[in-house]
Amino acid sequence: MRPRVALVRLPGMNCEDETARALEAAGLEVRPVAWDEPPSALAGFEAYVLPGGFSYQDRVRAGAIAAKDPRLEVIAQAADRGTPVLGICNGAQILVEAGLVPGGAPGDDSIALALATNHLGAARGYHARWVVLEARGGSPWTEAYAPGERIPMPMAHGEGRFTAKDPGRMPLLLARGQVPFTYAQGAAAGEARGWPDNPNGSEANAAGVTNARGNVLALMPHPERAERMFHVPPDLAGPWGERRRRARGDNAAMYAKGPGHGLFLSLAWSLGVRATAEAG
Amino acid sequence: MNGDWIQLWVERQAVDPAASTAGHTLQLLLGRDAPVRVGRADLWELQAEGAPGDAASRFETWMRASNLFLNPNRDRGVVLEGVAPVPGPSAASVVTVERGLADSRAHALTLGHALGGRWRVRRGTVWTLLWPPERADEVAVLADRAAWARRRSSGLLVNPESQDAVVLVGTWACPALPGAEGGTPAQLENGGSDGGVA
Repeated sequence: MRPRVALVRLPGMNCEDETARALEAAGLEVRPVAWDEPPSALAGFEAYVLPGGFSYQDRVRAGAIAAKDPRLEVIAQAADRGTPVLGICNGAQILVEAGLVPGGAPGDDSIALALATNHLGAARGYHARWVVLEARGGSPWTEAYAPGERIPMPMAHGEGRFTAKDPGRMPLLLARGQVPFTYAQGAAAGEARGWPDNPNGSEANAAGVTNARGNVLALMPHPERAERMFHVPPDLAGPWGERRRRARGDNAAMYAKGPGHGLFLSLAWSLGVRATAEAG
Repeated sequence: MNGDWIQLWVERQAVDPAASTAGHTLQLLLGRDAPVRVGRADLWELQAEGAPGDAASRFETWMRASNLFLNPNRDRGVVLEGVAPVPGPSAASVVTVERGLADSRAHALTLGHALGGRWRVRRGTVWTLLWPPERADEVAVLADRAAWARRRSSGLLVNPESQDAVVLVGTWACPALPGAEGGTPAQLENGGSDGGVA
């Protein structure tokens, strides 16, 4: 029997279908849970995923209204018990606004981080393109990646800059291993050096941040949009781009697992799945 | 209006969906302590150096024809005369900016081209919260609870990790947006942060 994952659907989210397919491809059973079901419908799942979109039209701030939804209390209680929770893009904004990331002691609902407006040198605002992440070891969310592996993935957001009022907080989270994914240089090896490697001005080059226990991840880029080889742009630099170019004309190779699959596979492994539903 | 600053208040002519959603969410969070009405406006604050003539009146004439600060089909714009259009003593204004991103160089340059001189243009949001008159004495405390999103279980309008804000009760300020001490138009000519437009 496959582990059951609740795919949380709130008004304005728009990435549910592709996220469900990516979770199922990793061997998980997905049950969408909509906003008009009672919060108790979220009880008893082995993991929770909040997909991307514009929940409640991003009114007030991205993720701010959804963060106050009673369903988040149910998810927070599950997170306190160690249940994995993944938020992608708008889902990440919700987890940060709800205080699940970076989190505190069980029951502590303090908000200690923000996903602020992109600050791109002289400009700001919505930005969408492929970026390169680096998987840092030691997190359950990077188990399916090699430490230091470079993972191309699309980003598409206007508010993705991890920041805190205390300038020491993000470096501290990085040092504590709560930043499992950072933005890396696009072409050469190494950390991002500002724009364009870091697409939004995120502090500590953070693309994804977890709680202290590591079971809750807020990730701004979209792994579900990089789940198959045909998602990868043929002009992408690096080994994934090379694989994509070689796959041209080969249907099986085009449908093979893409760079984002490892994130969902890591989640499945943490839930005890060892053989994926599909060969990849 | 302070002699140095022009304040432009822009709000929706019809119901503001963000304000109504904020009001509903505050009802869920605060129950009987929630404001009975929530409004929202964009607040623009402008400073001119070396602009010929009466900068405020020239700005207002130009602004109403330009669509750069408001959409006349959607919005209502008022150049403030020293007070905000806040409905009475049981109301509070939560004035907020994105930390470090309030200045708009694009708007400043556009005004310089259109009206001459050097301009500084800042943008923020004003949330207007109204309680029943009998709770006027409590407004400062209630507004603070509604404003600051320090916990999941309380506060909504300002995330202090990325935003600065002031809560004004029974008074107004000019300039009102936090962080105005950042410099004069000339000092900021090569600074500013964004290319955004209204």
